[in-house]
Amino acid sequence: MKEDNEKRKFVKKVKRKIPWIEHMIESYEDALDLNILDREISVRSRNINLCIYCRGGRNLCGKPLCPIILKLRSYLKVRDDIRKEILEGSSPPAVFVGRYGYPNVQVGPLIPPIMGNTEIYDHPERWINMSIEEIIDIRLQLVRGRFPVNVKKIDNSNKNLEATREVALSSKPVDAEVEFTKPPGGRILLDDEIQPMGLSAPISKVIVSSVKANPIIERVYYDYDLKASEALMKLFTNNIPVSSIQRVLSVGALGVGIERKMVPTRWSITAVDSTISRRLRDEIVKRNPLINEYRVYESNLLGNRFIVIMIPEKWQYEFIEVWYPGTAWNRDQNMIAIGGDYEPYWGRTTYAEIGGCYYAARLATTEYLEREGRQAATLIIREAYPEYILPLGVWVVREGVRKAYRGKPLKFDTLEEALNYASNRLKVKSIHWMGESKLLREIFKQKRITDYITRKP
Amino acid sequence: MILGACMFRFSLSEIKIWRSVVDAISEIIDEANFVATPEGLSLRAMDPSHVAMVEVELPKSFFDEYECEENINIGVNLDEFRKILRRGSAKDKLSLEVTSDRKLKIIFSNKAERSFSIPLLDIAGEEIASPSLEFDVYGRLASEVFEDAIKDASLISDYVKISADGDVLKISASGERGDVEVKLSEASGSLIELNVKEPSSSTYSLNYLEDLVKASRASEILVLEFSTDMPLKLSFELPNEGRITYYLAPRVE
Repeated sequence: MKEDNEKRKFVKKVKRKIPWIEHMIESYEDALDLNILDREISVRSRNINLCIYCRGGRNLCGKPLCPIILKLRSYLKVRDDIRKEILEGSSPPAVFVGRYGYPNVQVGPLIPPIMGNTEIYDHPERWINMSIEEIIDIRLQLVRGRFPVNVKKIDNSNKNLEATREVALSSKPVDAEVEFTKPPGGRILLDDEIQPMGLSAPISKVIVSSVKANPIIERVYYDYDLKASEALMKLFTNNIPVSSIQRVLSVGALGVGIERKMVPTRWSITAVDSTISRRLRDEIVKRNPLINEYRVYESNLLGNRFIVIMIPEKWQYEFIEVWYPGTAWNRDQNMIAIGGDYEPYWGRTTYAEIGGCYYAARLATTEYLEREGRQAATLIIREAYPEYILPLGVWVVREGVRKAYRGKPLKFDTLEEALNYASNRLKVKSIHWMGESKLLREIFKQKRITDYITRKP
Repeated sequence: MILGACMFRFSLSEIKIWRSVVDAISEIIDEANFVATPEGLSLRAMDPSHVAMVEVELPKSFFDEYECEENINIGVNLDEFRKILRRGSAKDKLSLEVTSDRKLKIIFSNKAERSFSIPLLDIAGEEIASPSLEFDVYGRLASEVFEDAIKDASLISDYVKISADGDVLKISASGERGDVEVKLSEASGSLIELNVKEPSSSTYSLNYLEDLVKASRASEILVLEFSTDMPLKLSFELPNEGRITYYLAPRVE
C-alpha cells in the first residue's frame, strides 16, 4: 500500500516536471549520466501519459525504437567533447541561419568536435544508405554557433559573419576554432524541413582556415548583376548539390548586389527547391513530349515509402502524404493522417500547405523529366511508417523520390492497371488516397476516346 | 524478291501539303504508323493518354503518282521525319519510296535529286477502331475563325465550353482569370453552315485543343461536330479528297 502511494506520488511529480527517468536506460553508464538529479538534461515529450508508463522500454507508442532514447544516446556520445567554451573542428561545411525574431536572427557555422573530412555531416545527398541512428549520431555532433545579425542591415565589418560566409561558400570542410561565451547547451533541433542539429552556443569569436572555394560558386558570388534565381539555376546546372546551393543562398551570397539578403535556413531550403523546379517545369518540361504509357516508380527510405504514378498527360502535379499512427508527425494512436497539395498545368498561386516536402518532390520530378526529355502528370504518395520515428528534414523526401526515379518504372497500358498496382504497393486503402487526390479527380473528369469505341467481341 | 526493290511509292509536287499533314499528326504522337493499300494511304492513332485521336485518309487521287500493290505498314519517327522534310524547298517535288529491305526513301527532286534513306520502324500496337458516333451539331467554318476562338479561350482557362442552340455556335471559357465568349453564326458571316438537331453543350480541354487547331494550316475549311458530353470531331478537308480528322474526348463534370 505504501509502495503504491509512493509510486503515485512519483508519477505525479514526473507528470508535473516531465524529467528523465532512469528506467529508460540500458547501461549503467547511461544511468549515471541520466541521473534524475542531473538538472542539465531534461527530456520533453508531447505524449506525457504514454511516455511515463513506457519509459522507453515497452514501445507503447508503437515505434520500434524510442526516439527519446535514440537522441539521448547520440548526445551522450559527444557530450563531453562539445560542452566546452573553446571548440576546434572541421565544419563539413555547414551554417545555420535562424528564423526567430526575423529580421534579427541568429547566424553561425556548425562545427563538430572533430578535425578532418567531415563532409558527410552536412551532405544529405549521401545519407540514403545510412540508418536513422547513424544520421542522428553525426548530426548531434554538430554544435551550432550563433551570433545575432540583422539580415536587412548587414554589417560587413563583422568578422564572425565574414567567417560564416566563407564556410558556406567552401566546397570542402573548413577548419575552425570557435570561442563561445558559455558552453553549448539548449535544445536539439528536429524539424520536418531542416536536418537535425545539436546544441548551440553564442559565439564570441570564430577563426577559419583551409577554405576551398568552388570556382562555380565563386563565379556567381562575385557576379553582382546575376539575379538570384539565375544564380540558383547556374549552380544547379553545374551539378552543385542542392544542399550546397541552399547553404550559399542562406548566407546572402546570391543575387543582384544591393538585393542580397541572408535567408533563414528553413526558407532557403524551400526557396531552392521551389525556384529550380518552377524554372525546369516552365522552361523545359512543359515543352517536352508526353511519356508514352502509364508508369509507377517506387522507393523506400528510412521508414518512408514513395510511390510515383506518371500519367501520359500534360504537366500536373500532386504530392500526398500518409502518416501512420506513431510516426513523427502523427502522434495519434489510431488514426492515419493524410494530406496533400496539387497544382494544375498552370501551377499554384498559393504556397503549398503541406510545406517544403511538396517542393522537394517537385524538384526531384522536374529534374527527372528534364533528363528524360519527357512530360507527364505526376502523382506522388509518401507513406511514413512507424519506423520513421524522428523528423529528419525535407531531404528525406527529395532523396526518396530521386531514389524512386533511379529505379526502373513498371509500365502499364491503362490508368486502371497502374492505379491497381500502386494500391497494392501502399498500405493505406485506395479509397483514402484516391479520394484525397485532386489530380485523379481531374484525370477522371476527362473522358477517353476509348470510352466511345465499342470493342469487338 | 529483289533486295532494295521498290514496294511502295508516291510523289507530290506540293511538298507543303505533305509537311502540314505530318505536322498535324505529330501534334499528338511521336511515332506514326501509316498503312498503304492499293487504294491509298491512311493512319489512325491515339495520343498516349487516349484523349485525342487522329485519322488521316489520303486516297490515291490525293497524290500525283501512287503505286502500291499490296498492303504495307510504314512506321516512322515523326521528329526525324519532319527534320528531313524541312530540308525540302517549295519548288521541290517530293517522292516517298519503301524498298524491300525495309528502308524509307525520301527524295527531293528539282534540278538536283537529293535522297534520304531511313530505316522503317516496327510499331507494335493493336488496331484501333474508329468511334462510330452520331452528332447533334454540324458546323462548317473557316479554320482560322475557330483557331482564333480557341486562342481567346486559352487566355482565360484550361477548358472551353462549346455549345450550339438554334443558329448560334458559342465558344466560351471562364475561370479565375475572367470570362470570354465568342459567338458565331451564319447571319454574321462567321459560319458557313450550322445544323443543330438538338441544343448541345460540351466541355473540352484546351491543352489538347490548342494543339489540334494547329492543323488548320493544312486546310482553310473545318467541319466541327459534337453532342452534349460526347467527343468533338474536327475534320480538315485537304485537296483531292484528302482528309485529316481529330476526335477529342470531352471533360465531364
